[in-house]
Order: sequence, then structure tokens, then C-alpha cells
Amino acid sequence: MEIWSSGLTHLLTGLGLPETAAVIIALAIGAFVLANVGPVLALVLILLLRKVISRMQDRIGPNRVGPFGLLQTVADALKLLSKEDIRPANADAVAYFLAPILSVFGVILSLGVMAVAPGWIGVDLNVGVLFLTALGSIGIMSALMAGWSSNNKYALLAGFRVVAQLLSYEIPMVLAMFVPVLLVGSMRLGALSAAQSLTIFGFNTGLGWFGFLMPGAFLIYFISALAEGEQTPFDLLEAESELIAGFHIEYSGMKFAMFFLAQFLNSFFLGAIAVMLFLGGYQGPFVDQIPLLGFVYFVIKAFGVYLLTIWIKGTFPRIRVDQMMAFAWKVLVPLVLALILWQMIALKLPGATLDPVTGDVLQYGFLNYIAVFAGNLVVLGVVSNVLMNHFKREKMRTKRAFEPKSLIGVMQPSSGD
Amino acid sequence: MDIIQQLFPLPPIPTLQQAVFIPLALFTAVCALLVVLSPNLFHNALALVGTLFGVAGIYALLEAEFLAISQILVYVWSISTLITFAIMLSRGMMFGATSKTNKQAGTAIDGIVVIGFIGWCNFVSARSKLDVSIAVA
Amino acid sequence: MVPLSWYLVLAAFVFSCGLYGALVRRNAIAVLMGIELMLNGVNINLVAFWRYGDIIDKATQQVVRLDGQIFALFVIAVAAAEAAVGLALIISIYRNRKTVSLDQMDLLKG
Repeated sequence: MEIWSSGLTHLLTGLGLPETAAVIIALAIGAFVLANVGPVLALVLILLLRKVISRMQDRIGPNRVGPFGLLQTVADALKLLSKEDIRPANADAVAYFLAPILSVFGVILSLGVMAVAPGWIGVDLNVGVLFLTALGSIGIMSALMAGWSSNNKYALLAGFRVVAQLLSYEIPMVLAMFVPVLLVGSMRLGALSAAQSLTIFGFNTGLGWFGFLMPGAFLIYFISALAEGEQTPFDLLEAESELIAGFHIEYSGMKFAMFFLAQFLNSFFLGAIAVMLFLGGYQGPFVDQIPLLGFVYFVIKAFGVYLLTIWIKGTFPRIRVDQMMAFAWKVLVPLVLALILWQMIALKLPGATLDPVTGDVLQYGFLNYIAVFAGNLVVLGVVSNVLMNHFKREKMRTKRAFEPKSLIGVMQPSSGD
Repeated sequence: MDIIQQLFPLPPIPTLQQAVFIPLALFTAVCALLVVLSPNLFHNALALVGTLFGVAGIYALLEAEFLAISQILVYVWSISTLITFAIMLSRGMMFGATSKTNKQAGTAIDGIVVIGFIGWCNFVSARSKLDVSIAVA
Repeated sequence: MVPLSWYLVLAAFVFSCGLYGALVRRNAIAVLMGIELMLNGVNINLVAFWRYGDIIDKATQQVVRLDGQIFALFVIAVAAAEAAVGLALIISIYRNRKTVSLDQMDLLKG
């Protein structure tokens, strides 16, 4: 949005406004647009989720309201908005009202630093990656506030649970985000996206994705992002088929809708961050010539990642809470720490082109890239091996549970336990 | 009036940074007061989070963005979560019948400390030439 | 620009609030919160003095000195460690004695 807002600023100063006022008005308009993108996007996301999930479950999905059921989520939102707003008698008023607002606030703020096309970025903060991770703290506070202020012990327990889950998975997520940051040497999201170009014979194919170079970090980020967005293998917070809702059990009407909105937007934005850091951002063929094409690529990639999370939601079984915590602390955190250490060593190997004056790295050599790639392949192998073993065991357990009792002795589990 | 004018050299119209600073500082100060004065321990923790956010905003205003983000990451992510967990794990104190403050003459002493400290700081800084020779970047 | 004294007044106020909390409150966790407030007041002072000091190199127009920020980072790190240790102590005392009131922690009192 940088280009756009500077154009608007020029227009307003041309109309005779003082410079400061023009900048403030341009920024306010930009913020207004971005804040409204969020809810509209959430309507699309929810509709997409319901359609795709129902196809996976051999159903048709919503098809009554509007053409092909396109207006179903609009109708649902209107229904939620018109419902009665109930507050429990002994709820803590301030925290109870603030919690849903904060949860949406923290999620929508991340739109401000997203690099959606070359030069299209609200604020290119020089600590952009850190900013995105810091926003998660607002979500945590809102969960705690909602859980405590509802004056309901189940809500409080669920609040504790979600905080424990988010805190545990935040660590591998942030550390995996810093693997590409180490390579690029900048935390600006614009610089990170720009660094993923790949020029072959003078033509920018835009395929220098860090996901190819660092598949291990990408896998760890993706798993942690599933947990952060409370998506299916990790959606213990509100396992719809097993529990009552999570920390927002006492909420109704519009406040409930806000939590819902925050959750959907959060999972989508985590996918968008994955796109910016690992899947090339706006990069693609002909992006240098037509910047608008970058926006199209970005949206396609972000929705692709979102569809992947829906696919996982439709296929994977839910894991237990102890398995989830053990996976974060015993597998992901040590692996990603080792990966960061290895990355630092790999980037110091000889072969890089240095700036003769300052000694900064201009271009890493072949050896550095090979070392980074090898380290990531090892991490990828270990993580997928752990996951495969887990799901093999689970499959065997389910099979045993559904087989008739007499057959159990006959079956030979392959994993040996 | 002259002395006040001299000690608080307010410009007639606040600049943009001052217009941001004043509400931010008020928010921080009110939250800091709530941390120590509110009777409910959970409200204290929430007010602490508010103060920490306000301080992060002050850092951003002082052009220390990295520090501002670190403040949010370390303080709001970890410390306030730890404090909230500790409050809820030691729940017996939350609804205790005893008074929240002890009987030390603390109140009186601290009143003096608060007023004296603020006055002293203001006095020192107004007398030094730091306010006048601001390093404009 | 905001005058430096405004930052100092704010820092002094936050510090004094923290001092009040640390001295007057009975609850150990509230005392810890007061200490966090005091550290934050100190940090505001450090960063404000850093910003208003001589940080720009005239020749290159680059920010050359970061000492105030580094100090503040150290304080943040110390605060995190202190909160972790202090809260662990408080929880273990609570498990033993069923109280977090500092007035009742008088095992060593004769």
C-alpha cells in the first residue's frame, strides 16, 4: 500500500491540505480498508471451509442461500449479530467485554505488515517478523481474559489449556521463522519476499522459494502454525465432536462471532506468513513487469495453504494433549534449535562473496546453500519419521479397537509394540 | 505563573509526537496506578499488561522499535502469562478477607517519595540544558 | 519533539507506583508486579536518555551508539529470569504453607 498511500498523500497535499494532515488521512484510509478486509475475508474463508469439508465427507454443503449457497455465511453472520447478547451474572464486566475485541484486534493488526505485492505493504517495519510473533501475545491475553472473566471453571480450564498450547508451539514457530531471516539478514517482510527471486538468463522466474532451500524449517513452521491457529490435529481447545466449546463457552451473539472471526483469520494469516517466508511471497513469473500480478500470486498461494489446512482438517485424527506437548518440547524445539545452530555454521563456510569495504555478505556461495539444504533435509527426515511412526501406531490402535476381540491375537503389529 | 511557565515550557500547539505521547503516557500512568491500587489481583495483572503495552509504545515513540517489540515478546508473552498462572494457582489469596495492604507507614512514606521524586526529576531536567539542545535526527 | 522531562516524569511516576506496590502490598505476587513496574520505569529512563544523547555520527548520519538500548535489553532479560525464579518460589511456598501473604511467612521469626 506504500505506493498507493503516497499517491493519495500527493493528491491531498495538492488539494491544499498541510503535509501532516494529508499523511494522517491517507494512513487512516489505508487502516480503514485493511480493517474491513478482515471480516469480508473471514466470510469467504468460512464458506470455503464448509464447502470443501463437506465434499470430503461426501456431502454437498451449504447450497440454499444465494447462488451455490454463496450467501450462506452472510446469513449466518447476520443471525449471530441479531442474537441476544448474554452476560453471565457474576462475570467480570471489563475483562468480559474486552476479550473478544482484543482477539480480533491482535489478528487484524498483522495485515498492516503483510507484503502482498512489490511495494504494496502497509508499513515495512524493520522488525516485521518479530512484530508478527509479538501479536500472538494479544491473542493469549484475550484467551486468558475470556476464560477467567466468564466465571466458569470449564472456561478457565480451557483458557489454561489454550495458553499452554500456544506458548509451547510459539517457540518452534518463531525459531523456524528465524531460519530464513538468518539467510537474508533482514527482518523486513518486503526484503524477505524480494530475496526469494530466482533470475535465470536475466528473467526473474520468482521460484527461489525458501521452502525449496529449507524444507525442514518450512515443515516445522507449518506444524507449529497449525497448532497456533488451533487447526485440526491440534484443535483440542474446542474439539467440536468431543467437548463443549473452549474458553468462549459463555459468549453468545456478536462476541462469539468475534472469537470465531479471529480464529479463522488467524489460521489464514499464519498461512499467509508461511507464503511470505517460505513460498516466495508475491514472487512469480513476470512480477517485475506487472506488480499487480504479485498480488494475484500472493492470494493464490495463501488460499492454497489454507486449502491444505482444510485438507488436513478433513483427514487427520485429533491427537491427545500429552502427545501434543511432548511433540512440541521433545521433537520440534530441539530440532529447530539444532537447525538454527547448523544454519549459522553453514552460512560461515567459505565461498561467500563479501563486500570489500564493510565485510558484509553480498552473495552466499554454492557451498553455503548446499550445507543449508543438507541440514534441512536431515530435519525434514527426522520430523516426518516421527510423524509416520505416530500415525502408524495410531492406525494399528484403531484397527485393534474396531476388530472383533478374537482376531486381536492373530494380528501382528508391524511396529513391534 | 512565570515559574510554572519556566518549569513546564509547553508550546502552544502540541506537535504530532506530543499529541501521541500525552494519551499514551496517561494510559500508562493510569494502568500503573491500577496495578498497585485495584483490589482484585487479576485486575492488577491486566493493568500490568496495559502498562507494559504503554511502555512498549513509549519505546516506539523513542525510535527503539526493536526494544518495543522485545518488550511485548518478553513481558507480555512470558512474564504476564507467568504472573497470571501464578495468581490462579495460588487462588486462596484472591478472595481473602484480610486487607490487601500491610500496616506499614508505607503509604505516608511513599506519598512523599512519589511527589519528591517527580519534583526532583523535573527540576533537574528543566535546569539542565538537555531539553533545549535536543539532538534532532 | 517531546521534551525529555516528560519522559522522566512518566518514568518517575511508574517507578514510584512500583515502589508503592512493592512496599505496601501483602500478596507476594503483587509485590513482584511492583518490582516489574519499577524495572519498567528504569527502562523508560534508560531509553529516553539514550535517545536524547549524542547517538548520530555526523559524518555518516548513522546511529552509532546503542548503549541505552543494550542496557534496557539486559534489564528485560533480568526481569524475565527474576519473574520465573520468583514465581516458582511463590508457588512452592504456597504448596507448603497454603498462603502467599508475606505477613504470614514468618517461619524464621523468633
